[in-house]
Amino acid sequence: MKYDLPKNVRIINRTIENDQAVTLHLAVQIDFAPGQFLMIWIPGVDEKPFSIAGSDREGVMITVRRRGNFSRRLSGLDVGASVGVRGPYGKAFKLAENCCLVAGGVGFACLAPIADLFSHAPIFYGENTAKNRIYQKRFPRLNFYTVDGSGGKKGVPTDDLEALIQQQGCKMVYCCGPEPLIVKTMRISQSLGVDCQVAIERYMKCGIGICGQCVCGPTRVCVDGPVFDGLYLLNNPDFGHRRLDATGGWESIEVIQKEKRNHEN
Amino acid sequence: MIKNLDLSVELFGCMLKNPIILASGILGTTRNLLRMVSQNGAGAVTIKSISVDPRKGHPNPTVLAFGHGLINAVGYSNPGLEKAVQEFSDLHEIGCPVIGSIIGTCVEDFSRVAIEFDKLEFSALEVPLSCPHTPEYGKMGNQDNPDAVFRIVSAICSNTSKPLLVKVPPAANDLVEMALAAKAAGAYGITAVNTVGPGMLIDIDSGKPYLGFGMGGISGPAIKPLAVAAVFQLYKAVDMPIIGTGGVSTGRDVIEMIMAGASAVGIGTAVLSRGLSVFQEITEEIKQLLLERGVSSIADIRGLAHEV
Repeated sequence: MKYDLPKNVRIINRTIENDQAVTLHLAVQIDFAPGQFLMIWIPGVDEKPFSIAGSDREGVMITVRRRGNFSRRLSGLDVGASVGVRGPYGKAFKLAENCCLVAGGVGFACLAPIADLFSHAPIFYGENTAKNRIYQKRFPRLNFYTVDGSGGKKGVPTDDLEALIQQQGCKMVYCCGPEPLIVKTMRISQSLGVDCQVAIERYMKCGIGICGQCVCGPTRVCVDGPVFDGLYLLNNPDFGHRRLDATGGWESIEVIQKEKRNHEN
Repeated sequence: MIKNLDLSVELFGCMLKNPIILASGILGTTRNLLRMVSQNGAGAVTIKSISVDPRKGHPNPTVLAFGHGLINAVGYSNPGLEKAVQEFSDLHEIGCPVIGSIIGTCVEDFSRVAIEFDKLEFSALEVPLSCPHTPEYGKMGNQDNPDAVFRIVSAICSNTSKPLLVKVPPAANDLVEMALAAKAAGAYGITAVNTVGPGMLIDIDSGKPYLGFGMGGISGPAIKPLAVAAVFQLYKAVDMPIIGTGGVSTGRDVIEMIMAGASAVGIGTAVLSRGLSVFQEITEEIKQLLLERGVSSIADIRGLAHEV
């Protein structure tokens, strides 16, 4: 049987991305591939999944946007504090250099390791409003969009996707973000006959394929995902529509998106 | 694949294509996942336990692999009866018999869930009266004794004609008395055993227990000897079908449970160690082991360890 308990690691750097989000640099070497995630534990509080947002010789990074109690606690931790880490978990992206990236919100964190790897790949990144932008210094040159027009181009990151794919002949589109954005990206890729891989999110508990909380159709997002082939997800009965909440009851993706927008505005 | 060897068993009035049953609490959250497990070869599947009201369960970490199995304190998170009735409709589409698991804090709760589950296509019901880590339920609700078993089983059986399995704790002094009480109250069979516990693991760096709830139930290879002994004791003392559950992860383990007296076997933690293919693989392993021994059916070896 596996031995897979959280390991305590120190926060060695803390970058303030904006007034809602921080990037924490954790002093732990993890052999991961882009798309994989970690379970981050604050002892005595809770444990949640986070995409691995990057790495260097000192360790790995996660980006935390404040949503609820746990993310508020985690994003408030100072350099020198410790968190528990287990992972990496999940399936990674299959890598193709001739690609472009479509990121929505903090979903950018999941794609950032690909952007590090393929530094010439075009990035389309959108937020509801400009003050939510992350990775200003890390990725200063990208196509930035805001829904409210407060920064970058007014619109969403899929607006210019079709034109770019046709111009540059990208062979792969990587996407992570709100489900409506992912659906749009998958449809555009499908219509142009371009491969598309996406990383999705569900309420996660065990992270190891046992509890059934992160189910999406017949698949478990923690072990069968979080990265899926776009074509596969287009035929998944739950994707884009519903997910389980903490109790195991269905909640509507549309309602969640609406609440998130109201919270941000 | 080995053919011409029939592993089917009759249980709660159904023919199971093999004696391997998905245990409650593992992957049983939705009908799609149950169907997935069925397609992967399970003989029957059990849903995650349902209470009258929705429950969020304990904070994470709720399930951890500690090297010898799992320690868990999920805390019975479930969407509640109303949503469960919607989710677990049209169960004939699952492709194998489905067992409905019921939890409650009082006799009335068990009855309310039983009344609604009676209308669904569950082949059997199960009531775990032995959870070691959820306040007001199982051990922490003082439900793991013959009196409570009798009251709860009587209440459920007066509200449904579906066969009822009672899930008992391992290493209990009054294990046999609990099973006898279950039988006297109208239960069909015993699921032996629930997770062992409470257990606890502490992170020595933070000085805090790993599990969000602190204590949890232990499952997996570490508890198999306890489960085999419980099945052995129950088979000797009580004439009821037993589903041997606890640490089963190979075909050999299944044969062992059946020789102890089990009619079928529950699989949970092995989904972690071997993946969803565990059901199909174990079935093949059982066939191979039976062939090697010149045994043509499971019934021929049931309770073999009791022969003198």
